[in-house]
Amino acid sequence: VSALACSVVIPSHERPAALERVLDGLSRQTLATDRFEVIVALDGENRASLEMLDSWRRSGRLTHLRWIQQPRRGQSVARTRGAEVASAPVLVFLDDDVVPTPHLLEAHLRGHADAEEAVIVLGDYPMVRGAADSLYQVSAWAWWEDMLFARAQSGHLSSCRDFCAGNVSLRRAVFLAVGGFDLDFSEYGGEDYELGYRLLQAGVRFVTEPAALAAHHHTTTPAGALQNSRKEGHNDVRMGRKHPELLPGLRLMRRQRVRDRAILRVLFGVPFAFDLLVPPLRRSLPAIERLGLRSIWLKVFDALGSWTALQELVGAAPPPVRHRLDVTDGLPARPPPLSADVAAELEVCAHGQPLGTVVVDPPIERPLRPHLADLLIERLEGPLARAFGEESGRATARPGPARSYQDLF
Amino acid sequence: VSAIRPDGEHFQPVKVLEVDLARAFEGSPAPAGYSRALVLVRWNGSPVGTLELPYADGRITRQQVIRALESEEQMSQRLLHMKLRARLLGGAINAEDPLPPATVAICTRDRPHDLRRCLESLVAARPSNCEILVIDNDAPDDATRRVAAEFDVRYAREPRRGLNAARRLAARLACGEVVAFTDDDVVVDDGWIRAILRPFRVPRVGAAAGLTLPLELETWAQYLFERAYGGHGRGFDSLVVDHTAIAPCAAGRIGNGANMAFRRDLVDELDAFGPDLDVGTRTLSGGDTYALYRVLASGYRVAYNPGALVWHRHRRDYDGLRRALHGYNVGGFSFLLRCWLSHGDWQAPRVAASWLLHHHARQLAMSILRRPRSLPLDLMLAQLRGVLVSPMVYARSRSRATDDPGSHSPETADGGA
Repeated sequence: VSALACSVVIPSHERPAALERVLDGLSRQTLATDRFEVIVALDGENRASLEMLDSWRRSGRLTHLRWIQQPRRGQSVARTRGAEVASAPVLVFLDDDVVPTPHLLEAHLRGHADAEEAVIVLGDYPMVRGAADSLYQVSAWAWWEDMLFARAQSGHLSSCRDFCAGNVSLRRAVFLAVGGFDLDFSEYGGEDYELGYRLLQAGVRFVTEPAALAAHHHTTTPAGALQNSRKEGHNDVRMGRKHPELLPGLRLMRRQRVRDRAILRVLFGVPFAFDLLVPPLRRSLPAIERLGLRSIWLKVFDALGSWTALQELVGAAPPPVRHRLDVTDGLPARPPPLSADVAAELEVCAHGQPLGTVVVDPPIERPLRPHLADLLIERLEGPLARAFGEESGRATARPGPARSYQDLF
Repeated sequence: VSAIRPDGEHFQPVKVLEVDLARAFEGSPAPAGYSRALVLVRWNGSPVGTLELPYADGRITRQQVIRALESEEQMSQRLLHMKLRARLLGGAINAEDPLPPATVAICTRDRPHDLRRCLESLVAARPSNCEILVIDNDAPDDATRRVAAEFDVRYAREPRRGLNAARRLAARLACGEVVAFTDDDVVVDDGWIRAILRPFRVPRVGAAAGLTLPLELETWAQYLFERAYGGHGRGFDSLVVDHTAIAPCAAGRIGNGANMAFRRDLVDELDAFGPDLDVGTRTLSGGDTYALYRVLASGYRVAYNPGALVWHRHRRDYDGLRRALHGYNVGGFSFLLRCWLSHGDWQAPRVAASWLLHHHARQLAMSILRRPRSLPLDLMLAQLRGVLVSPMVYARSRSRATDDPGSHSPETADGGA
């Protein structure tokens, strides 16, 4: 058994046809089939999957094929059970809709062999597009493309969100040392990010390995995706409770509307502003009622309720980490040790003079230096211009055009 | 004060100039016969904006450009941001990473003189992993082939008349991963090829477009097209959009056929260049917009990089301008009808309405009031005629498309040095 190089763990829930494609991909690896084992963790009872696995075992195409069963408890539990019975030093997690290309396992192992210390090897798994994709499929594809690109860019700041359990590998000892998946994340979503965060905190480096390539046959329907969002929201709250410093970066906090964003910014930036604002508004409610302004009363009451709830949540987040950033000679080659997931405050100065304070909100998806450059220009245009001896045309700064990928060309 | 009056009686040609504020500039003396200049302001090569300036005391000076720039709020902010970015990030903003292998295609029809000028500029600016391909469309004689043979370029013939038929052949013959298109009546800037390819490093980018400025403003027609109609310019701010940021059928706002590039595999996959569209067919224009539309509608990004600059020689004669403006409207509105009726895209009628309201109605009112920077009334009417005939043109191009599904196979000849 000690000759095994890696254990491939695949959680699967009632998708025998998809699972069979994954097994087929694994049987065509450049790594000899007796060098790895495949552990399928069946989540919930499924006769068709069992029959399929049984015929695969009889065919002998995969030398070490095993499966375990559990009553339906979600993929994090399934992955954990699979990891528990694994015997090789490296764990490779694959989803049951992720079909590996022939070099996948070899590339994962090379990623571990090349690094001196323990690392997480992130495999690539772009979504397969169909000829007549629906808007939902197009959106899902777009999300995957952008995410996979962002985390593979040089200068990318590793985020817990880079740890996607669909195609990833790590040493079994590392997995056990940080405690594996949190089994409280019982149903769907967030459990991989949560483990990713603990791994990053433990100082484990993430490396991307483009040759560890798989095809992602995304089969979720819009209805399924919305159900998953609901569970993700649930797990976001759990994540915020466990790691309060992640609260500002949670999806829950990233409301799209400008007004909501402004409110959140004020809440995180100057929490006492609401202590000043809420009591007079609350006291004005009876007056509004007496004036018969029913709809205004309802709106104010509703807003106060949401603000109070948000304040409670925000109160749980620790204050942002503060760093000093000297830009006299431009952005330093090694900027302050920011985290892609935790909010920070930068005290920017040049020539010994303070220029102002900039809040760096998570998530940071672009390489850090261009991200910081655009943020500083947006927030501190005037002071920067004066510090660098440039004419600043206007007294008040107006945000310039939003940049996202423009620094690439 | 703009030189535009509703009539062209006292028009004097306008010189087109470039000034790079990061480099030395001694001033530019006025050539004989010119009293004004259109100045492209650059900073370290990047376009910042254009200014129309009079030749004060017989020359244009650096101070004059800087003063004029200060009163242009957007331009001065753009320049300031460029300077601050450079100070913060140091020199290496656009590291010269390897670019995808590419093909530049020039689809030309019987304009050997223009083609020679275009090829001279292209060959001078070609990176090593880039081929140039001349598509000779509906050739009446051998002149185009002879010009192409003077340069190190590939040459092929597309006998089926139509710009899109030629583009389609270009995409089929291209060896590059990206195929960039330009017209025979342009001169490309030194950095054009690199700049039009750079956006393809961005994930999901299926097409890119660049900035088109006038090569010359010698005639009243050229001046009107650039300064009153708005020319082919799409602004000086870079842009990366997908279908969540812009209605796909409003793709014409991002780019035009004289300065655009596509991932080659997408051209086939999306059937981006329908042979019944654009110059040489009833629709007269709009093949470029349709291709960008297909890219956006499929979830890919379209990028606009103003650093990818070409200089376009606008039509010199007034009648030619009137026909071109008519053609843009025939093509533009039949394109929107195609989006709406053939692709079931209900954003199209909204885009059409907003175009009519914000462009046509406004410009018509300005023309009637004879305001400065307005088009002469007959040019406005030519545009409106184009709008009116577009439904008929769309209906006919539909019925022809069903008769002849475009299976016509062109006779091609690969040649050149």
